Amino acid sequence: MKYEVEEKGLNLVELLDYANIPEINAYFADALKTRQKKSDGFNEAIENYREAKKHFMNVLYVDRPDKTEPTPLYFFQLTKYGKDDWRYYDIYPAPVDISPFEVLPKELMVYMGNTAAHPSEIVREDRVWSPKLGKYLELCYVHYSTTFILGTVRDSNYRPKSAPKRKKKKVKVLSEAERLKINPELGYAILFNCWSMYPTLMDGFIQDFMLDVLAERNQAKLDMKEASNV
Amino acid sequence: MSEGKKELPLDIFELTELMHVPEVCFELSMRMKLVKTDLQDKVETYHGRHREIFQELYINCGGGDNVYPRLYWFELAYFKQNDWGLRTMFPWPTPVFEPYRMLLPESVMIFMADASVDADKVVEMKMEYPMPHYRRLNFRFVRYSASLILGTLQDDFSQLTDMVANLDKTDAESFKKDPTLAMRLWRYLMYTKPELTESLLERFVDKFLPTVKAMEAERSLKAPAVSVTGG
Repeated sequence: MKYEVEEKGLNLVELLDYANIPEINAYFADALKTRQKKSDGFNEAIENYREAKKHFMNVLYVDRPDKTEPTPLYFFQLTKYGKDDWRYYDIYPAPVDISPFEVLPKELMVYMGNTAAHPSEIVREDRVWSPKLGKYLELCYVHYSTTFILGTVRDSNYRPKSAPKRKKKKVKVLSEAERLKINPELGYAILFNCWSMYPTLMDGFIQDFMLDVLAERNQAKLDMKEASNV
Repeated sequence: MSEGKKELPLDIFELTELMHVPEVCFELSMRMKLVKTDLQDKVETYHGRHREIFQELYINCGGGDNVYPRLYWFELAYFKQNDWGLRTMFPWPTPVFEPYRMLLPESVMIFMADASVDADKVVEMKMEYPMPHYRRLNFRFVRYSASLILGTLQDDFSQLTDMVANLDKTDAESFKKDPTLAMRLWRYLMYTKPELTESLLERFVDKFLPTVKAMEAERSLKAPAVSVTGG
């Protein structure tokens, strides 16, 4: 059973927008309630969904003994919002210090979304190339429906043997300051965390910083004044 | 039109979840077609009123001008019981030194959601956030419906004028006299000179983090502690 939802024009963004209109929200709720009363398999479908989801979560992630070895295994759930628009519904464990898109880039979400897999059939691919990340990933996923994918991702063990040997690039190890320079969001996240945990210390640090900035500003003003006098 | 605060019959989380059930998705897609034809007037009323409120609270109040204090437009949506989330914020993204959660913490969202206000009327509210991230904000919002709050927020202008006028005289003593000054001035400087971010973070990494790490190391010798730096 595979409904072509998109052809019928259901777009999640649009649906969520409409659901904010009280009358229409009530209309959807009534429609679903009425449908549930009909006992024509509608409720069973919802129950089946919950059961199946639990089953796939167990098979794909919970019962797997290799969650951390050789590389961390992430469990993801993706929802389809529109054509080639797949978004995270959830990712577990939450990636630390990296964006979820460095774990599973959008291009691979679209790739999985467009894979002609039978619903409820687990697809295992141990070498999916991600141009964005520049590495192979190991994917294991299932299309529960045309709008929902559950799966796991981790770095692949695969190393192409026949690939021409490339000159090893010298990797520059970034200092912490350089790392934060290219990722100021992370820098501020650490800074705010420090501010919450050590407010007095941080206040002192910030005050010193601002006094220096103000002193520089005053000096610049003085210099300008002197220059204009000359 | 609007019905004030009451429990929603269908929450957004439930709706998103049910979308994954093919039968429900099919049903909703059929209903969606009917909504677009039979309930078109209600949809238009919603969009029209939404535009009016945006015009009244944001555009007419100087929204869009890149000045400090910046005026932010926000929309809060009901997701499920006691769970309100940010649906839209404008300008977006917020500056890197000001994550949106600092502007609009969850507790403030819940406060607005729980406030007993007349639907469709503009509510004005002042909020003072505690130290260390002190700030005083002016809110203007409309409880559009049980599931939607539309409004704006802006730093209180009154706390800015004195500070700017006294910039030349600000010294270490000023910070002792007014504990809120440091936070207010820091925010002002970051808004007016965003290029300071680089030197701030550099100094933070070079001077502050080593002190904290040393403190944490010392503390972890006595008892296991949670690291703030992740190191």
